Amino acid sequence: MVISPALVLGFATLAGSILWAGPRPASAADDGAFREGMARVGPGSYRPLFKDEEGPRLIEVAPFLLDRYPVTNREFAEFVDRNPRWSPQNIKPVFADAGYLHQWEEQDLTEIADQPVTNVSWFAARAYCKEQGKRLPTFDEWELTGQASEDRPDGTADPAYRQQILEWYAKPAIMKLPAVQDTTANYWGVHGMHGVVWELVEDFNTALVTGESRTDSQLDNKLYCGAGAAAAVDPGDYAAFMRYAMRSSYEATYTLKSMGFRCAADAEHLAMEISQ
Amino acid sequence: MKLTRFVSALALPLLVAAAPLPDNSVYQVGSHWTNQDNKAVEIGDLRGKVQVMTFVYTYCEHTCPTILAHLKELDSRIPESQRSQVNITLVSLDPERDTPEVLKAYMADKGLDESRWTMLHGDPGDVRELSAMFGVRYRPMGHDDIAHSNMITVLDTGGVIRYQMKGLNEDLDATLEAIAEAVEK
Repeated sequence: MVISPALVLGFATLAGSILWAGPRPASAADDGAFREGMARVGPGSYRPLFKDEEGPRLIEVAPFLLDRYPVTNREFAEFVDRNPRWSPQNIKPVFADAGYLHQWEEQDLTEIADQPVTNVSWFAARAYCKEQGKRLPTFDEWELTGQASEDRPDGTADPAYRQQILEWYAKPAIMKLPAVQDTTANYWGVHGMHGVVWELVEDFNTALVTGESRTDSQLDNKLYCGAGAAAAVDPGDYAAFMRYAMRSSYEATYTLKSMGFRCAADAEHLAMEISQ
Repeated sequence: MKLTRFVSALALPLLVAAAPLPDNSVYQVGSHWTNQDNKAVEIGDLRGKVQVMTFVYTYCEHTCPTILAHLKELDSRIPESQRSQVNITLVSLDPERDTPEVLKAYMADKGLDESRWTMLHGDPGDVRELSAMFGVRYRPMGHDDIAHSNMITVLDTGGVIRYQMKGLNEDLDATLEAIAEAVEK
């Protein structure tokens, strides 16, 4: 008999050892829990790391909804239980590499239930969000949210905030991830944007950086070499460099022990719920 | 004997279509598209033939003409004995502007034989998903340009990637060899 990870986690919940608010609704229209689990972000703007041919750009981002917390192992186990094709046993190699959900084999699921799920490919993350009636956040949405400090929508000009993020990048990968509810909220009420895991975005493969994409080798040069730094609006924004580098080298089947995700939705969902 | 071979040639695509998809087939995405004739195409409908695939957009003035020139040269160099088993598919990176009607006009303008060339229009999310499956990167740059990977991919009859020509300055011989091997497989 095969016992699913979701069943194991559910049992642990009944035993009272884990704080669990219950499964998320299957669609945006189910109930208010959808809204409760998400924060409204924006409208706002952010300045991307790289300028274009006409100089520095300011990207306007329309309001949207974003999960307050990264998706946890428990939530993903429930998803896999409902959708066995995304289980480690059944997933096709075109959708994820061999490291897919590797932590489920090595660690006690009840101990990592509330930690962000990692070792999930872009295809699997996307399928999860779709099942929830959501989507992955776009590159621009993530960056807008990520520039917020605890008390400002744009903390990038605050040396203390920038230093705080840099300190995370300076540390080795966290061996034991925190429970999502133990992470810090930013201005928008979104927790753990920095210092926990890298996060997948829908359009990760837009990480071309400049318009000079006439050959693939040029793209790589623009991203990784000095030419890329020369085109940067703020060459001192090391954290943004790291995120761009991660996204530009990422392939959709890759799974990483330090890569997780959260879901987003159009702000129209919010209007729909209020009208209901 | 000739009749047997003829019947076998007819039956082969049907047999391929009936077989389970390989686990590493890009057709596992199962997405739905529209071709230049406004006909619905499930991505798995492409199986049965070797596919030479690329991602372009019709108003591209930079690299797409070169990619198209490469594809035409490839097409002209495919031996006659293999030609009926190979199809060339162009996926549009701009679903908004490259409607099926625009794709149809583009094919006529470029002289692409519709019996062996296909253009696909899809939902933006499906374009993103399929491009990710091929490792293609793209990003709109202003209103009239989309920066994108220059890549030509050879898929075998089951949709498994057999070869990818990355960049514009590569020799086409390796792509032709990959096509020949995929046909014979």
